[in-house]
Amino acid sequence: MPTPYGPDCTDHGANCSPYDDGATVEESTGYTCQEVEADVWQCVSTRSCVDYHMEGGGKFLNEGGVSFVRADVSGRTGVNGDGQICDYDGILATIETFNHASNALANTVELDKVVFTDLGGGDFGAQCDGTAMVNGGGPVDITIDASKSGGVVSFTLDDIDTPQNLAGATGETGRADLSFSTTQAP
Amino acid sequence: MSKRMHIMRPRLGLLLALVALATSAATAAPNVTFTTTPIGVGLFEYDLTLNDVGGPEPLSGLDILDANSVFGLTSGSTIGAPAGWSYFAPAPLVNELDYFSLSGASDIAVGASLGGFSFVSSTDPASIGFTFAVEAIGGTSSTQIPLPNAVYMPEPSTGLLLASALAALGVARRRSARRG
Repeated sequence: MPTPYGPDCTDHGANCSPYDDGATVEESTGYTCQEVEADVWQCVSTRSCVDYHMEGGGKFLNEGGVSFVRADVSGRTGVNGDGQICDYDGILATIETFNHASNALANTVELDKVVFTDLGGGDFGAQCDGTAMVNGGGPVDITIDASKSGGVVSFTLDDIDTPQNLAGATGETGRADLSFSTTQAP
Repeated sequence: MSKRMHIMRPRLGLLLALVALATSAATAAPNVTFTTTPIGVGLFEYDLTLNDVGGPEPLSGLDILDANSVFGLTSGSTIGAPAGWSYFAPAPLVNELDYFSLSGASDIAVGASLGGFSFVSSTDPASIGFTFAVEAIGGTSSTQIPLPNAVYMPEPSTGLLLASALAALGVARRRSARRG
């Protein structure tokens, strides 16, 4: 249940205005009349705060050969309940990749944007932007796309400026996996 | 031919067959051999050598396939790599220890061997039958190369002890046969 901090309201589940004593309104305001404790209804924000965490890696294959991946991304941000999680600040990331075809080792990754889409049933999509050191040089601007759908995982890390695939592709069955989870933050 | 020689021949043959088996496993195709050293408090140091013998291309990677489930290795484990190589330790959802050559110059040439792959584990090598699953990565193709399970190579001192024990057993049998 949301933390009670809004004005009382009576039209359960309806859009409301916290600036007008919880009055029901037609348009979406980002606030609805919610039960904040037993039989107590208040006009409160639909946003909530969650801790998110993506982790995993393994062996990823493409036409060029094998890439090794280790990834761990976590943080805390507000969500609207639409299944999408965006964060731009305080993102914790430990990501390392090695591409055998190009001998490219990417590490020391710092992310300034993550967008996760929770598809349910353990499936998800992720798009991250930031920087990485590549073979000790850089930092270079990178973008990461990761997903899990129907048991198939994919992970790519690309140099935005060149542009060039630095690592990743499709995870090898049974030898690559990614997971994504969220928990309500206190 | 004396009765003694008849007794000795089957044992010698068995020993030679075992040596031949070990030799063929170590020379016919790319493979991994390893030794172990007890280092106290229930821990063992595993030292691996990747042999690119008879392979079609240089080798640029070595994977220990069940590194977490069999050896309990994690990112906090003691793991060593040869010069010019690095590794990714097992992680949540990733069971493998992946070694990789950082450049073509440090790949293992066809016909060559490279040691220096090591890790410390509480897994007694006897409990896993002195063998475990491994895989290589080709330096030219950048693809996976299946390998036979890693082959245990006893330390020379262990080999000497085994040979001494076999010799003592043989002498005892001979004496027993003479008396009989």
